[in-house]
Amino acid sequence: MADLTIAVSEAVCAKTLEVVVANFGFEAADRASFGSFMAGYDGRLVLKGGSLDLRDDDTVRLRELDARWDKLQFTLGVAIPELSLGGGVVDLPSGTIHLPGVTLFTGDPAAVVTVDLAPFVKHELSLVASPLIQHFDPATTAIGKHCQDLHAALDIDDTKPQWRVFCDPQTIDFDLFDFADTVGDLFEEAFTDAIDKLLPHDPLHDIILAAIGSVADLLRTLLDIPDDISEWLSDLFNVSFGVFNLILQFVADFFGKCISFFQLDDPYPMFPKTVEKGVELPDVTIPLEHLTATVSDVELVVTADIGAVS
Amino acid sequence: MNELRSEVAINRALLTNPALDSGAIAVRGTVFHVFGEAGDHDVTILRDGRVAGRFTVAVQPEGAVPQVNVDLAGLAADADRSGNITAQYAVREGGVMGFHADQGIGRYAVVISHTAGGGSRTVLDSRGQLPAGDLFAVTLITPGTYRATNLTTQARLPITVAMPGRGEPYRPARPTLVRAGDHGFDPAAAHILAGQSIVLLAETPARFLVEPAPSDL
Repeated sequence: MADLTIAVSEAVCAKTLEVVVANFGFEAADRASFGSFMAGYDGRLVLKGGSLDLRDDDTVRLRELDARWDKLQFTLGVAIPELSLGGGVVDLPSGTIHLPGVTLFTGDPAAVVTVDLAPFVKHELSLVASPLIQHFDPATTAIGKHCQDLHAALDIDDTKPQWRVFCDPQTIDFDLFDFADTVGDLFEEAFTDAIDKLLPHDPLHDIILAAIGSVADLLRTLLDIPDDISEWLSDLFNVSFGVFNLILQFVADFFGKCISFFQLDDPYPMFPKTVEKGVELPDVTIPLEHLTATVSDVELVVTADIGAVS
Repeated sequence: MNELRSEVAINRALLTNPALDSGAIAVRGTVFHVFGEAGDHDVTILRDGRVAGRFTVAVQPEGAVPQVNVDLAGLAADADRSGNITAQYAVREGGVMGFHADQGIGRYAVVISHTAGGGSRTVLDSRGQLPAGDLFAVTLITPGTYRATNLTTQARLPITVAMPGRGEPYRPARPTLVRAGDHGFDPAAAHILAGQSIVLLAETPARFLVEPAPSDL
């Protein structure tokens, strides 16, 4: 039988979840060249709401956390292809004459547009986790800068040894990026406006547009995409940038390695230092060993043995 | 493209609408010379009356390409101090060399001499007349009415340039050929869409000037 048993109710665990969720912040930015265009994003994902269930199969279930982007700035830079007026061929009895076209743009023209997609994408996060006990030793346990900052914000003391109980995700259910059609329209509109501003505002403007077909057609040609820009955007985030996998990895590390739901100092302070009748009595601490954590449908139970007291 | 930026510079020469003269090649105008005889031809490029470059074209009975287009603005920039250009050109006998300026405000002329038997004979001086068989192509961008004049015969060709209709198929690279002979232009009038080209074929020696019609000036 264990020497020490600590039971944490589901309500307390839920409160802990609130604190943990409030401190969740996934930040990422990337930029890459995809041949004819360059794309980049800069985003910050936060969590809100959600509920916690303790289950008698020894798991903790976090359900329906809203994952929302504080910002999700998406930037697209497109090299405008060589466009020209005139040109073509003339057939004469002596042969065919090729006319050189008159180039519209000089230099290495490019158009860049940035749109904030944050209001248009939302995800839901659920996960099933098992309690995981880790011993933290300030001298040997590596801890990332992001976790250090979080620990400082949450008053988790990284200067002393502790036993820490994490909710280690076994399965993570996170929605893929799925932009609505309206996002495709928004993006197309922003890009069209950007191109439009680059063109001279005289008859040449309408002639260029007539030569291109439309800016939307040009955009699709440059990006080599079919009709559905929103689907293209979703694939870009999910696959090309791999943001989806980055988030999954971040969630796994955040809950499984970074933020513990419960921690016990080791050695555990049984009695603080006191002074009685002018005599100072030193604090009494006990080493903890053989920790276990189990979950029932009402509480998280942590047990430990008391080691040799020196 | 290594960085994200927004930079589009319009070819400034497209924003103006000056007269286009076969004797002073500028952006939107191209002179095509047909090489009728095999042998070396010395080509001198003049910019605003001063020699801007020289090179030789080898005209070969067979084996060479039928056409070479030369950007005079780019070529003049590549010439050394004495105006010599290191590029080598070869064109098939009966082939064509097109002289155009891709950008800038320079006005160019081309003088071509056929060198044979120790002598030299001028076959083209674009400041004067284009020989029969040569062509002058112009791309007209601003909608309106224009007038092409063969300064040799004083024949005139009215040209109407219309805006492409919205939603209608539009291809800038669809030139219209007009022949210029002793009896004027054939056809007698031309209609194109803005951004398309008119190609004037000199059936007899000709000097062409294409300009906005007086009412459109």
